[in-house]
Amino acid sequence: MTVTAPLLRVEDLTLDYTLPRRRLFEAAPRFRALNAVSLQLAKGESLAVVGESGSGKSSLARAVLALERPTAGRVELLGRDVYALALGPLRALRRHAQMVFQDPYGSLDPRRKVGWIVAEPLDALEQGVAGDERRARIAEVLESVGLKARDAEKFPHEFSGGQRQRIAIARALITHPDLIVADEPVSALDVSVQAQVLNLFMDLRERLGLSYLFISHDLAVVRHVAERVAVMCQGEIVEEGMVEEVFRRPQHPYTRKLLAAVPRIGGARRGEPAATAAP
Amino acid sequence: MTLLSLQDLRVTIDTPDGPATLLDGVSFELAAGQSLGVVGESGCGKSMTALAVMGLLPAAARAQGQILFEGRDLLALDEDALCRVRGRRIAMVFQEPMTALNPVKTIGDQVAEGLRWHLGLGRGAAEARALTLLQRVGLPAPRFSPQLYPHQLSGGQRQRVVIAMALACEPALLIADEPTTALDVTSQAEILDLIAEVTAELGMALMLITHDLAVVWQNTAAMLVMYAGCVVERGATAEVFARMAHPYTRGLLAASPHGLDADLPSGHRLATIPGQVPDPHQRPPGCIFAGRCRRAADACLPRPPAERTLVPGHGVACLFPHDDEAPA
Repeated sequence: MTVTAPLLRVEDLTLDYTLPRRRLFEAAPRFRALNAVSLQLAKGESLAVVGESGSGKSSLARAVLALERPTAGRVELLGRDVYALALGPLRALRRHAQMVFQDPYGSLDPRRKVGWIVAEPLDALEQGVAGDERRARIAEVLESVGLKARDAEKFPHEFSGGQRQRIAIARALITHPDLIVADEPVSALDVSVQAQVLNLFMDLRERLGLSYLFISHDLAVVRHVAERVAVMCQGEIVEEGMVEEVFRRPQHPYTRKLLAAVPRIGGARRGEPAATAAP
Repeated sequence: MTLLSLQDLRVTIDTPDGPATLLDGVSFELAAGQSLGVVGESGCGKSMTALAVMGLLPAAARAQGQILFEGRDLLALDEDALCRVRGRRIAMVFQEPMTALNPVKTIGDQVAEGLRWHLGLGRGAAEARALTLLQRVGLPAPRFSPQLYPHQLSGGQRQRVVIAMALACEPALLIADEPTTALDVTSQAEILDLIAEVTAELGMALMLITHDLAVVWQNTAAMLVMYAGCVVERGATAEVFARMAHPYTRGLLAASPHGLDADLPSGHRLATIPGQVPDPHQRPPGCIFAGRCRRAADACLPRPPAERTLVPGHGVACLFPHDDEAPA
């Protein structure tokens, strides 16, 4: 094992959400979204977190980027406890970890040009990058995701869903992060576009040495981008291991259930003998 | 017996940039009680086909051809007559259950609405029947009271309510347009199970629209592959998967993360289809897929390829179809 500190270390992370109060004099009920979750991610490594809706995987993604304040536990990014940092140092640290969201329609401001959208993390986190340098950085990331430098002058509505997700990825890359947290980044896309975006994730990782925390409900998708997988169920990690190993020999009943639910070409079929569709 | 028969359906829509062709000569037949998968990517016309059958095309769209349902041409019916078909004989399940349901009405009222409107049931009778329907789709009272509102349910539970509404009048045809795309894999499996059960129980025909080849494989007896408003391959599902004769069908399969062999190493690159779907304002005169096709030749360019029959019941609109076995 490595001696250096891992890129990301999550220790016993517990996160409760307060639900609406039911009675005036009763304490508001709480919902435990994460229950003592621990994981580690080395530099250059990719970890997928899979589970159903409500399993806590998106809460984990948000907590890792200090977008939520946990009830207990620690998150260390590059060896520093993100919840112990003051706002200034936290900002500086955020350069190293960026997020890609699920919905490429909802996550891009429709009234801003692509250049502005892509440069937003740069403007927020690295003050003093302006003029030609800023333009060069925008062009660099747009080209690295397969778009053109002049696309910076266009608006999001001029792009397809797959291209929009490329814009979202470009925005995540502009601060030259070490870690990208991607929350269901391809589940809103068509099959062939999904393949293009997944391939882009793999290319970028090889080229830039990125690490991914890749959140998905689809086990078949994560096989392509991650070497390790953690299966979440009701706020807990119930199984963790190398992707191929978990695929071939799932240990936990919940993992088996998830794997069995994925429809497979050549697998079991419902229904009767075929009817003709020819006119 | 043929329940639904589309003959050379063409749909064009007027846009500021001129007329755009959305469906270009779609024909198919669906027998009573049978299941048909329609697969293709966004913009291929699969949802537009469903909307045309439902008589729900956008106002700017013009349809030509015939949509024969139970012997009547739906395109020739007026709105009143269509309203008696819609929900009564043909029902639809949409992709996004939250927007398909009315957020300010209880689920019981929404299931009862079709019963009162189409079947003329009284309030009490409709409520009682709604209760049975909700129980049938796996939302039994008292745990799932008909007094609940859509926001109090999960995505999978909401889709069950939509299915209960669709079943209410026991229609002859159920159209499900990407019914599980908004759901996670375990809810998807449950909803597809439920749709298979209820269609078999009531002898309904099913038209299942999806972009996922694995869902078609698992759930339908026959299938159509659509690309840019045309049917490019059709046949019995097992037959189409065995041959995958059209280059576009093979492209879809290669791009699908569910289509791969379980033994492939992780980190394997997925195949992609180069290029883009042609602009609906300027469709090429020849094969619609030629611009993205590795097998395209000069013969593909002057006119669209006629559909040819490979074996009885398996047709492909391609001059140079694959004739080896499919890679899956």
